[in-house]
Amino acid sequence: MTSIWYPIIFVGILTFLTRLSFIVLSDMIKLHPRVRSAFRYIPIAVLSAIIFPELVQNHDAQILFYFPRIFAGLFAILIAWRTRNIILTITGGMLVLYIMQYLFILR
Amino acid sequence: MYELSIIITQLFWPEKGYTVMNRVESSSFSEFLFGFRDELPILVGVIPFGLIFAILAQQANISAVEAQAMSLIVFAGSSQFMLVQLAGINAPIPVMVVTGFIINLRHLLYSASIAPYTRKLSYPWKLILSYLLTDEAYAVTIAYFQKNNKSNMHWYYLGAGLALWGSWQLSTWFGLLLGAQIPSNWSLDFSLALTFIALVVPMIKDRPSLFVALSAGFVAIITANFPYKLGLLIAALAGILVGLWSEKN
Repeated sequence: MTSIWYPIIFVGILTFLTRLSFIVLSDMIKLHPRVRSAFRYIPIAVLSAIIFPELVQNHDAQILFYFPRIFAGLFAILIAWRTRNIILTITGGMLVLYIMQYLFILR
Repeated sequence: MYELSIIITQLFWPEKGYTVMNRVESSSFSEFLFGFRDELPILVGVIPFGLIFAILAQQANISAVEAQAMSLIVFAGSSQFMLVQLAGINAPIPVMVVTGFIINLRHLLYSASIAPYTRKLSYPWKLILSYLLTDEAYAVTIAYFQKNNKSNMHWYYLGAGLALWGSWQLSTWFGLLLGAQIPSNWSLDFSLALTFIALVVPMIKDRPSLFVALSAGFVAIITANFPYKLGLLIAALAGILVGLWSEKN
């Protein structure tokens, strides 16, 4: 048993408990209505916080306002807004990224 | 037979853009299939991510069994990426555990937002659905829960969750088989950001939700270099506060 098993098991347990937290505890605690109404912004807030840094980084995760990804990301936002089609958004965004990388010989 | 024909019809010609809360009950099996179906487009962005994870794991000298175990036990892409990177530089075990844990803290928010819908379920259901609570299954499910009010909606969640779970396990496995045949300069990691764009844009329906997205994104860029990816949580909380504030004004 090598050492990588310890992080796998501990992170696994901790992640599971994190996911379980409110799903099990909400039976026992009553939440204020104001807190409840804040919940509806959770999906938009967390997903946006994941997306935006990805658009300004290169693949080594260095922030440098990496032009091809910003452009591809903005294009994908436009496709998502107009079509609401998930596959079109992903393939369209990747296509624009590849075109930009090819044109500007960047990675 | 009649039930089956309705399921097939709804699978291929789903109703689009209903704004009224949908309370029409359908069978648990068709709820499961709807969830499974709605998760499928997401997999276009998730599968490349699973492939890259497997390749990074191999490069960090993690065995196939260990990599697959990580996908099964941790089952969270971004922390798995971080764990293999830390393993590659021989980071101490406590650092790996703390980092992996903190990256996954955002699931607290997901758990809080899904909890009102799972309140009446039995404990086995709560355990299974908690295990399946990932970014991608959550995003698809919460969008459905906010538009529908049915007694068996948890079957939808199960369908979406299992579709994602299966694709994550299989793409890890395929990545381990293919090995280094997929070069990292294909920028396949970008597909996940695009997936989230496809999920979040339709959720932005009014001014407060637009402010939430822009402020969370802005703070996330500023705080991107914070340790343990804590910037993600700070940015999400900032976005929620801006949303509540803009509701008032």
